[in-house]
Amino acid sequence: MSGGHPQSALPSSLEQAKRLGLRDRIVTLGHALRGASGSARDSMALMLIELAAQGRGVTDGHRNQAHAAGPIELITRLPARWRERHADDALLALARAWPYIPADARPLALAVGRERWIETTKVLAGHAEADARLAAISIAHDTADPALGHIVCSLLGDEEQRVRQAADEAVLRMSLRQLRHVPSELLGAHYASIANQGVVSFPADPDVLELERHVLLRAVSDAAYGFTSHRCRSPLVALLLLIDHRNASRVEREISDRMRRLLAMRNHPSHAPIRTLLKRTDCPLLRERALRWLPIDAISNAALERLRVPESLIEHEVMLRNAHLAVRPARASRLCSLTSPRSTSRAQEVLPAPQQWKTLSGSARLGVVSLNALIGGDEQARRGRIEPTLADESLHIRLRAAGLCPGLDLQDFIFDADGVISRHAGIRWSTLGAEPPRFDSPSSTSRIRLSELASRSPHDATRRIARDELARLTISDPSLPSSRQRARRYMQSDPAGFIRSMRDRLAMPSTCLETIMMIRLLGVERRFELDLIGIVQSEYSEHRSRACAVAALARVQSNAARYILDEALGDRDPRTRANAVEHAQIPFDHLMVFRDDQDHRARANAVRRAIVSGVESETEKARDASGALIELLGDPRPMHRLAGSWVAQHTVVSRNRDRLGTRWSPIIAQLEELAAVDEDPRLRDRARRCIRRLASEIRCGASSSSDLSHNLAGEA
Amino acid sequence: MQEAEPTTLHVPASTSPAAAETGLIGFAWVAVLIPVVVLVAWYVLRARRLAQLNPEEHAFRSLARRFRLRANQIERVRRYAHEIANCSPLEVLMDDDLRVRVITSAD
Repeated sequence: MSGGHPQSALPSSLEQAKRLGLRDRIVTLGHALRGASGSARDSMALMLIELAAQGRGVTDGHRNQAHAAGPIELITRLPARWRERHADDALLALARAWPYIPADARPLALAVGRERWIETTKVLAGHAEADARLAAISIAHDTADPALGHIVCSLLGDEEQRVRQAADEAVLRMSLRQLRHVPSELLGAHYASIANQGVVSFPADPDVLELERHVLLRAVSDAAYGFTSHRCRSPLVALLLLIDHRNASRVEREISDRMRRLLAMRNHPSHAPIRTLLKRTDCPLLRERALRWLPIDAISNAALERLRVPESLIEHEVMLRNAHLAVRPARASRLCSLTSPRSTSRAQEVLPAPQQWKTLSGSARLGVVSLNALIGGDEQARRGRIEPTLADESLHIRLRAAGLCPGLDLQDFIFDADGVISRHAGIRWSTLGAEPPRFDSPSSTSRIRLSELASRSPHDATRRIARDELARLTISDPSLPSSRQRARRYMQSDPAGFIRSMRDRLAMPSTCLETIMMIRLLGVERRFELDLIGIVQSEYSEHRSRACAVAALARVQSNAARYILDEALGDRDPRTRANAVEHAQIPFDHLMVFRDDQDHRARANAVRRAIVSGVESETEKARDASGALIELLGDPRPMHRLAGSWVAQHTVVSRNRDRLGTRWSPIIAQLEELAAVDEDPRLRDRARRCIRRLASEIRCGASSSSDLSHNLAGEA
Repeated sequence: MQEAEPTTLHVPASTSPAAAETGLIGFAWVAVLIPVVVLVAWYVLRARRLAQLNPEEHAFRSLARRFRLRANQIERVRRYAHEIANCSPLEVLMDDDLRVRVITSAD
């Protein structure tokens, strides 16, 4: 060889490189690493790593040497500074050749120190050569360290197209790396593959990396604000995905607020690409973001478009899980426009089809119910969308559906197996606090029918609601104020219809008695005089109905009514006869005939009427009446004594003392005896109450009289 | 003999030939040594500056010196790196096969 050595005698290049000076060795290895292959590359990388670690306390080549520092070295630390400077050069060379470092040597290279790598990458990013800047981006891409965010974002506006493109990809990867805990199906296939791609991480505490996440967020925010300088979309994607991060720290929330201010700005150049990304990006998570950002004017239309066209079931799921966001009125008003007439054809797609109900999670099914009530639309469609809730196994979902479903579906929820749901639906369905439908309308008829069915519900509360509803809808129960009010309103609004209806009900034995009671309570006996007379005279009428009709006819001032009453005095039915005795206009002597009646009702009515209508001056009649009461109280038949106690309750009062005359004391004595010794507890109770009332009346009378005398004495 | 003539006479100090020779030699040493030192310092500083300005070139020269390459071989390596392989000359030198091939073909 003319140059000196023959080919076989040539020394290995690595051995020669080792003999070079430190600076030359670093430069040589740094350049050679880019073109080397195989084991040579590994060796070169290891040599460079070793040089980079020197002087920084990681691996000190002089540590094992027997070396004592001289005074100059101690004062100036020149050798240490020399080594450190060369270590930094070696690290720079290593970073410059980062794309060529073998994969297994990279963790070792990163072990040199995170801070040094960040500083070196920063230096490399400012290098004049595009390859050096690409190496810096490659480091950030491979490590996905958030602290490198501002370095990569600063390269988005690089003059070289390939650098810009690499920086764009790196920013996207670093941002998506922060979302690696998000399920892959939420990120979409493409973004999930980027987020889950492995990284060569720096040897740092994961908590430190979490804390430094705000560096990346701030860089992304700055890059989004400066969109016009680079026109790269990755910061905008990162902004859309990282804003409103669930586990954000206080600093990150401040940055998110800044990002949100960008969205709220007027006519920012980034809005157009953000809208496009929001509508078109294949990332289900963005549908949730679309729901969240509905109130922001700049992107609300794009958000609505995104909500209107779901790409997959997971997009339904992610939006429906956050349906509680729609509680905010600003969002709710925007959601209403989803079913505007212009977009009717797509309105069906906003929520999942009923066939997909089983595949949704519980929270998503709740969301369907909530959003179905919000987005409106025609009632048939709304009913169809939440029809599966009827058979849902979750009580919570059925309860929510019972609270938000259209009125027609409430009829089904009333018959739910769970008492709470049934009661909730029943309260919503009832006309409590609202005007019930017209009495003769089909709606009222169907409601009455349903109320009758629900009144047989196994749930107590539902039965009560149904009975109240039935009372509000019908005029059949005179004991309930709502039913009486319903009848009175019906009578005022439609008198002819009311009379026709009442006559129909009078004609039916099952409703005859209640109808007569209603007639009496409404005070319209005159309008039904003939009907009442017919009931009294009919042999097929029930005894109670006839007795009630007699009482009703007593308020009709007509000859026919009086005639019927007189006839009823001799009726075989004791109730009818008793009512006639109570109401017929008959003289005292005729009245006292009934003091010996076999029926206790007629007898008690006669005695009571004789005492009440008696005149104090006619002492004979008063003695007869009070005597009849004493006889009644002392009758051996229990029912007669019970009827006597009833008479005593109504007549033995202080104001009747003069009327009862000398018989007052025997009556009191008789009552005291009954209260003490009678075998019938009802009778004892009545007598006791009567005595107690009398005692209180006497006590009150005594105190008022003493007050009066005291006042008179004072005036004198 | 004239009376007005001064009675004293300034006799200039006589220098010995040996001392003069020593001074001359010393001056010559200084005159030579200073430029030499300056030149060496200048050379070292220049080399350092060149190494700082173009470390790749410096490393290449050092490595080439290690391989005992001659000027024409260095030139061939450079030409091969720049015109054919489109890489750094250092890479050519550090690749054993490539380096041997380039040098052999040059011979």
